[in-house]
Amino acid sequence: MAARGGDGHPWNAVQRSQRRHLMVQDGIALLSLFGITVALAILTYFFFSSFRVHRQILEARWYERGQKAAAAGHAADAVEDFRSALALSSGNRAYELSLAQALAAAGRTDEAYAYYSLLRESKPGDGLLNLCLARLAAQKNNSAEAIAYYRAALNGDWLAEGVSRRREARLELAAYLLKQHMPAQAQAELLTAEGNALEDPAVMNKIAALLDQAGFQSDALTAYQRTLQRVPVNSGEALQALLGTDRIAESMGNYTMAARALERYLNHVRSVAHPPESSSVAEAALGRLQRLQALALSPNLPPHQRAQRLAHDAAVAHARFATCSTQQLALMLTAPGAATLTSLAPEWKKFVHPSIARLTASQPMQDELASLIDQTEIWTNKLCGAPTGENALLLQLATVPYRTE
Amino acid sequence: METPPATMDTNAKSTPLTLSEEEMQQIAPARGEGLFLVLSIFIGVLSGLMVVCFRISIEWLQVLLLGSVPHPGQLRLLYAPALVGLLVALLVRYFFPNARGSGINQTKAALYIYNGYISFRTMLGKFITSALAIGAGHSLGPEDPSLQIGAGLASVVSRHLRLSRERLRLFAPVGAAAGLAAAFNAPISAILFVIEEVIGNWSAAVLGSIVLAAVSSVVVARAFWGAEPMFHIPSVNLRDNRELLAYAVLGIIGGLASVLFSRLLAWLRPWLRALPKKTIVWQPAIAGLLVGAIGYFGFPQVMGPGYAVIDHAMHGEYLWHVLLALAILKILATTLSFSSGTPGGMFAPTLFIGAMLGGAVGSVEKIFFPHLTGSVGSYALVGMGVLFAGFIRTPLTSVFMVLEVSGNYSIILPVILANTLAYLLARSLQPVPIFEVLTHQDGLSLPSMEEVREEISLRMEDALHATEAPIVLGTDPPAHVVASMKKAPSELALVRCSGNHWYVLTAQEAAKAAQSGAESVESALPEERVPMLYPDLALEESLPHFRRWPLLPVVNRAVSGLLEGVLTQDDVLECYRNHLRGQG
Repeated sequence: MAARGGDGHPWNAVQRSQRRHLMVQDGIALLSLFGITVALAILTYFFFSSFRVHRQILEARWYERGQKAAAAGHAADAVEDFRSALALSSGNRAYELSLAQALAAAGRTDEAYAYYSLLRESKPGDGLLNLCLARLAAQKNNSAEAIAYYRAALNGDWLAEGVSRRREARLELAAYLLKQHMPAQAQAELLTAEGNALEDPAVMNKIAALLDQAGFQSDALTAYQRTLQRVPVNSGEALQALLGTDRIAESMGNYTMAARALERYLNHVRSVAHPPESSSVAEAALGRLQRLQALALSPNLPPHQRAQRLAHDAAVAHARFATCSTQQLALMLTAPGAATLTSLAPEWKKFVHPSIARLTASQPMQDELASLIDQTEIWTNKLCGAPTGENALLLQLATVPYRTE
Repeated sequence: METPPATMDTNAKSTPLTLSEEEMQQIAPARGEGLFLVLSIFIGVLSGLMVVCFRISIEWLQVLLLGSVPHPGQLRLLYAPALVGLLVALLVRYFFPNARGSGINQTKAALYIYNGYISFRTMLGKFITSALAIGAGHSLGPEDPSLQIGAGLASVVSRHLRLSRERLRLFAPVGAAAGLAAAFNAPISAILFVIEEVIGNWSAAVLGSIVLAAVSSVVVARAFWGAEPMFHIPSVNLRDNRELLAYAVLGIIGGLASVLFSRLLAWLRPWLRALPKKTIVWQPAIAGLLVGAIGYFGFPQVMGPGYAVIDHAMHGEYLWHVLLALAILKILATTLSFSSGTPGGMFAPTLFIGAMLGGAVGSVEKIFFPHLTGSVGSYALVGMGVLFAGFIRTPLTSVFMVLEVSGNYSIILPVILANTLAYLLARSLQPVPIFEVLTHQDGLSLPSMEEVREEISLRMEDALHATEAPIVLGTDPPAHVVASMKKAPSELALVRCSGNHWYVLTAQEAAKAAQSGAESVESALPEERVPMLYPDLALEESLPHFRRWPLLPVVNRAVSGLLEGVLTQDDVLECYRNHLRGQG
């Protein structure tokens, strides 16, 4: 069947020749065009590459300047340098992150916040970005966002050292929660962090300090004990844990434990010949603790010994009561609470010279006298100023009663 | 403006085989369409490569002339744009006279006046002079020149293949779309812009090629620059729809700003052109000096296209008063640069002004309404679209442009609202779009695509009336038909033939059928029937048929053959007359 043209008639010989000629011409034209395209592509590639290399040199130079400025604390200069680097390499994540950090360091919180938010758009799971945003939100007093970003940071991607970076972020969150008066949430974070930090005594000490700050002294004490179980006693962390144990145990009324911790601390300090001033404070504290133990009415004491101790404490407290009452009477009992103090006088009349034998025999009498001593120390402290000597120790025992382990 | 050589025969110039268009159609009927598509891809790739070279040239020149990052107080900010302005003016005057302007109107002129002809010299001139001017810090952008470079490249390439005049004409917008798509890294916006502003309609003949070319060029551009969108902003979560009011305010302010920008340009450009001719060569240098002075005394951000500055604004790095100052200074700088005749585009400055204005408005609104959830970046992004819609007057492109350059669909509602407000406000305050104003200043009369879009098209139903001619069936005997016609006031009859087709019968034909002794009138008629016409068709479509048919039956689309009414040539002409009278 003969080929047909556009009008439906078959082509003649001339037309077939023209058609062949046209196809060859078109083929050559398209091949030439292809050649030109390839040549232009190669030219463009080299042109582009040369410019890219030059620009990389420039941007690296600006970035280096920015880093130096940031390291020197010149955050405003660093912002300009990083911005210049970014102008040459738009979208470079490292530069953007540096710029955001420089903006935050320069106190340009809103700009830094906007920048970090943008960066987070492309990597919402980036741990560092979320942590930085959390810090900025905290600066902006936006606690809901700050906590949300902290949590995103905890669940985020940290690339290297993920465990330790997450732990640090969690501790930071706990500290922030404490500032926001949310101790229960802080405790939950700290206990979670503790579970992951058993092998890191420095972190354990930090956790213990935060737990103590949050008011969870028992948990804090446990954390210090765990540190002491894992590190040699002569390490810095152990010494810190001993001091922490001493402080918390004393605040809990466990004076025996506090004294034991302080003794261990002093033993080490003395053995490595620390400067005398570092041990003198501890020695004084230990002396105080030992004296507290001597005054404390431990339920473990034999009844007779307890009665003797009670009689001694009563003598000290009564002397303080007598002095203070005289002062208050001179002031015509005008101070608020003076009446309460005077109401203790009939009680004291019963125990002016307590009989050791009677006290030993009567547990209710012991308890009554102990209570009277506590009340006396508390009210004389309020009305006649802070006590000294054994009265100070008795006041401490009145406010933080002796407890055993 | 571009003028093709008087002796140029676009079909015969480049090939020894001399065939007429008719001969070509005879021996290779499918050649034109096939070549058109293949060439579209080549044009896309070549345009992409050219635009990459163009952008790198600009950046190289920026580094060489202004330093890697310009800072206030650098003397080069004063002398570089001034000296380069002078050089560019000399080049335009003595070597590339058609390289003036942005490139949009030049491309339209090529399409509508010069059969798609853009010379290689013009393309080269546009490349060199625009790169120099923008690289030296003149407040102009690379997109419009890229569009013209693409169109020029398409014109040069297509002339070397023997294609019909109609196809040659269409290559300019194909190249324009490719150039713009590569410059913006935004194929949809480029396609829409060419359709909205250059071609003016969705012609199926060219749409496929435009898409192919735009996609090819963007693929090439992305191979070099990467596929990341131009700007990044956080997702916009409209927690409260009342926040749209904040964007509406931005739309109104943006609309007013675009009118101010347009009027300033429309006033300064002819004023400068009216100055003595000897000053024209100095005007780009003086404009460069003034723009440089703005940079030297504190605002180097206004120099060049300013994409990095837009990015900074979107990151909320500037306070509102800095953003406002940058917007005002950019309007001044761009007006100076463009009006002086320095080659370069208006797109980037428009986006810059819009971003700064949007950022400023957003920042101020957030001071008074701190609960607004949109970031400053989102306001800056919407601001870009707002200025684009108000100044360039391409509402559809402006919406898609914002989406494409940010890769962020979450901003769609605020963009549509603000852009529409800006567009409507700008159109009511400045009825003539800026590109049309510039065209008139150049002494040309190109079609305004905004007018074309809004042109009310008349339909057949507008001229339709009831028929006075008798209606007969094709099965009726001819004698019956003749009798019916005698009773009627008309000398014509409408015959409903088989297949629900119609035939308009004259008195002579009816008499002839009766004499022939045919059983039915239809059997005496020729095979030809009146073409099917429907009430919703454009009225102009009826005109060619009046040569053959004195009366045209218009039928219902749903019920085949059901007569809706008839049209006569007089009805149609009267309808047009009434329409013109109505337009005043």
